Amino acid sequence: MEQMLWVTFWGAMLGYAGCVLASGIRMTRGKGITRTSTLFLFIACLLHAGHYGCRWIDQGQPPMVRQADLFVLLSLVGVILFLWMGRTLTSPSVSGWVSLGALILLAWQSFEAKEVRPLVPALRSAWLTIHVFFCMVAYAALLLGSLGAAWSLIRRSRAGAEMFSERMIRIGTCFLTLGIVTGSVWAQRAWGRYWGWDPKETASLITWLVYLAYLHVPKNDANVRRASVLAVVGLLSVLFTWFGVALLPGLHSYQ
Amino acid sequence: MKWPRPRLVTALRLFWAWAVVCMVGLVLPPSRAGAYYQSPVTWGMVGFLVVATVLCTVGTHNKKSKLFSHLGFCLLALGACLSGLGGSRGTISLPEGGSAQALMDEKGQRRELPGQLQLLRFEIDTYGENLGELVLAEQEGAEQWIPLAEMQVAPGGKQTLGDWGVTVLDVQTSPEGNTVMVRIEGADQTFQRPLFSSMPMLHSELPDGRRLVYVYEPDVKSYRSTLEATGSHGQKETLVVEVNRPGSWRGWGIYQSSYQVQEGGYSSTLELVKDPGVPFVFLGYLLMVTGSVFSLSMTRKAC
Repeated sequence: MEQMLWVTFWGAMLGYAGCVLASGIRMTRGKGITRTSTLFLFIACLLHAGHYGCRWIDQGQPPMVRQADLFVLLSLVGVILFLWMGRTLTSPSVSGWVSLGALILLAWQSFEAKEVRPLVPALRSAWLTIHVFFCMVAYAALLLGSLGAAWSLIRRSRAGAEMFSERMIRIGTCFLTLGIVTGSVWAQRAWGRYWGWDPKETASLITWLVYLAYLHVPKNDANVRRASVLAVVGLLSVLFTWFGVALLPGLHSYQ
Repeated sequence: MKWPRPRLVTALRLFWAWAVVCMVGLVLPPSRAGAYYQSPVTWGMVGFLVVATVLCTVGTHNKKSKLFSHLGFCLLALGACLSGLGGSRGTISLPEGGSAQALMDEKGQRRELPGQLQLLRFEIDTYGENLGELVLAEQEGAEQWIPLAEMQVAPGGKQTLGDWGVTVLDVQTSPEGNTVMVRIEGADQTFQRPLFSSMPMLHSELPDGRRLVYVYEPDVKSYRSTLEATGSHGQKETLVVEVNRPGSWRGWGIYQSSYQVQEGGYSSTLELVKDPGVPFVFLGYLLMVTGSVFSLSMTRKAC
């Protein structure tokens, strides 16, 4: 298993590096090898998925608690969503940026301790896998969508980016709803309390409200900038929900 | 008749207002946050949001997404109101063999249970691989001891720590902690010592001034209480309650909260909950999720 982990990890890293390189060449030349970068990204994504599966087998429990494992899952979901929905984007450099992000998140595990602590009793539930998976899909989609909105704000008229951003945020908000709901159902089962105003819950609710506001803004020419600004605020909210809340005591500070 | 439908900007302002309410709750100390979320201001905000949601939903045609999510939110708010007004919860702490007929709820009021709950048994499962570590420590300064070397405890395990060969002869586990019997071999002497995980002060002083300490923190896998519930007419039933596997008894949900190690055994802490709002909340969740799934098929124009 050690060997499989090594092969899939470095294979995925090389694939992403290849995609970054191919996108860079495409940008400087102005034409050619777009398909090559997509092929690199696709192969890297397959190896990345294999790597995550190997981690699951190796750990003997869902790799969904440690930061490094969550980064591996987040980047994997992000790449899959990009491969699925990124066709609306016309800029060839985007796949390079996505690959670079996945590369960094995948490499993050080198900075974390190898030791895997067994799950505490409260986390030994099928809801862990369901809840964390929905949240990771939500975060990946919202991060991609918000970055797309930020891109469209910087570059002004980028209809493709706006469309991509809106689709991603719609998917992300749907999965965030599922993530919050499954977390709530799990909390009811574990502690008999479907909502406890835990900092992570509250921060997720804030993020959800921000993206609901985004979805309620009519996407006409007069409001498109306003919507993009809201998406960027949502991005900050997602980052706070993940990292900022870890500094506060609560039910989500297990490890 | 035309409904007084609120403008979209009102909805957006309400979202922001709610986000601000939550942010204030986040920065408050946990001891004050609970009262803040239950305050009339927060409930008033829920009321405003429900009224606005209802007004902008009535008369909506062909928008399943909006209809389902808004109706779901209203049910959710109704469930939360019922939980707040009619719900009750409290904890009981029972030693093995102990029983309770009442509990103190969150408001500090005594509430009678519909009979008696007795703890028959309390069991803990641990991840068996971890039996702790033996640590060789050296004194540095007046009070401080620094670890020099360590070995995992396993029956029959043998390792050299500093100048001493340490062999684990036997390991005994109990609720109060583990006891490990070790043989310590030096250049010119051999002796046996028991070491106790619960009493690190009873370490083994070695002839060279160093110490051998047994450090053990169990990795708890799960814990469960076996309860006997006796109704007011004497009818008995047995309940097994575990973390993530609650029990149910005459309208009360029984949740395994925590446990304490006491002399001679364990004391199990159980949370008893009666919440009439849960079915409404869960139905609300179902509708909201359905609505958000419908929203995925919305095109840019339909927004």
